[in-house]
Amino acid sequence: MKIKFFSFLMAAGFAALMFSGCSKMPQAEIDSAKAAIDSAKFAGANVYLPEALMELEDSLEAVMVNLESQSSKFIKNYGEVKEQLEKVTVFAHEVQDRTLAVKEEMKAETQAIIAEVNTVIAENTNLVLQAPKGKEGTSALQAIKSEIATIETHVIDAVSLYDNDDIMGAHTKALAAKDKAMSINEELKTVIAKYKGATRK
Amino acid sequence: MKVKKKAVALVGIGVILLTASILIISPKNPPIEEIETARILLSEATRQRAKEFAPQEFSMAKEGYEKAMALWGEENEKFILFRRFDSLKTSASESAKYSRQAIESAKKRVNSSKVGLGIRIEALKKKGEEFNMYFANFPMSSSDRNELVRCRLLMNEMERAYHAEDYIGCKLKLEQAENITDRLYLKYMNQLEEYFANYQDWSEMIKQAMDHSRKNGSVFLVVDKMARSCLLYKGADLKGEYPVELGPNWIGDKMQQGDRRTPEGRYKVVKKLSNGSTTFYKALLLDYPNEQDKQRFRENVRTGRIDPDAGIGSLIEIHGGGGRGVDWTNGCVALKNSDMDIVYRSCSIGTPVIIVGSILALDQLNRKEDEKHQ
Repeated sequence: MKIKFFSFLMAAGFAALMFSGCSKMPQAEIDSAKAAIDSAKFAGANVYLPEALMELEDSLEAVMVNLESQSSKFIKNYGEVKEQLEKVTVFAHEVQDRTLAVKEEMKAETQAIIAEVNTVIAENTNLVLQAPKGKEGTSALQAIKSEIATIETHVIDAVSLYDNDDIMGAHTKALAAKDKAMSINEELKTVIAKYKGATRK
Repeated sequence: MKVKKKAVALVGIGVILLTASILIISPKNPPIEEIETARILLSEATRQRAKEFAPQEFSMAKEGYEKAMALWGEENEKFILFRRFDSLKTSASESAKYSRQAIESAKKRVNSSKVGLGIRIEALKKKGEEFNMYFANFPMSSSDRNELVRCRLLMNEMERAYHAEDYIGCKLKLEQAENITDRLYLKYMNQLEEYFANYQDWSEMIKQAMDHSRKNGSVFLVVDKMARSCLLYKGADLKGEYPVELGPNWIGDKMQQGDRRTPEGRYKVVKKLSNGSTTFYKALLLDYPNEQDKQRFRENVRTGRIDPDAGIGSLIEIHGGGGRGVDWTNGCVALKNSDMDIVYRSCSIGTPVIIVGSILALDQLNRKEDEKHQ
């Protein structure tokens, strides 16, 4: 009887000691979550979805605190931490996918703007040919021609940024070039209309 | 047998005591609350853009937090009874302290950036408008004109960055645009101020013409080059004001034939042309070059300012065919045909024509622009 009792106590003691080390650190899940976040960053999440990336990184940090908190306990239980890490990994993949989608959208928009600017530049070059010539505005036309050339340079800069994967930078430059090209277009059309009106009289 | 039982009992008690000591003696708990606070504050500092606007404090907060987490991991590796969390607690508290400082600094600096940049952007736009007012029709080199276009493109990008709250990006573009604007403004304002050194002479010519007109009841014309206006006066009464177009190189007095400058000075109508005798609808031929023009031309040839083979020019008229929106003449003053009808009808042979840089002084032009903005 006594032997059985003491054996039971010994077994219980060993079992308690065993439990203190039996829950394994979810290292694979940690590595997976971190790799997924790195992938999202590599895709450009910091540029195209900065808020989502911040939220993602916050989530991982919160889980790591929970992880260390479990590691500090005598009887560890990483079950919940594992689940949280898996959720972070899924979220990271979503952020990565959304980033790539946003980037593709911006690329398409930038290409469209650049194409539009080039069309307006070509129209402007044609309008310059129709504008008052000879003494009637040669200097003004020279000025407009050099403005058109400056815009063309700006478009080249935008294309260069695009080719170097700075889509945001390319987008901003292209928009600026478009605005200026459109204002020259308006100016030329107004001058030509006035000139035609004046010469009819 | 009894010895074996005693040994088992002793081992069992030993294990129980050891387990109990681990459970009961309870080493110090990790400072989870402090770490969680540090984590939340660091996250908030990131959201408040402390990395950009309070980089030093942010860096110290981040270092403190990373140190705390590293220490925690190290302590957790140790046997439970030997863990100590004092340094961890200190690092976490330090991190929280720096995060709070970073948040406060970042908020203040973001706000002051927004306000400061807003003020500078408005000032730059105003300077741009002033530049247009004075220099839109200024004869300008093509490199300066290209710079002006580049400046406008930069301003477009600058405003987009501002509205996207990218204050660092905005500031970079703003500074580039400011440099171009300041340089061009200074260059052309110096030219303008030099030009307006003649203002007293212009003013005197107009006054004399006005006095003469009052005495004999006749009309006279004033061509204001800066304002691009032809003004019809009788005495001191303004009878009409008509927009004009000049030669593209309009700043300053005419020096020689082909310089595409409209001359300045006291002239009179010597001939009236209409009904096919001019290609510009109707025309008033002026007595350019007058004696002053001839004297100045001779002086300029003598000093080598102009080529001795250059001609002084002639056939300066006030004529129709204007309304084209650009300075296009060879030095003549062009009006719209409908305005030319009025001017032609009002003038006769001998009507004085005073051509000046401006009827307003430079500071009066500035005041006029300020009033427009109010």
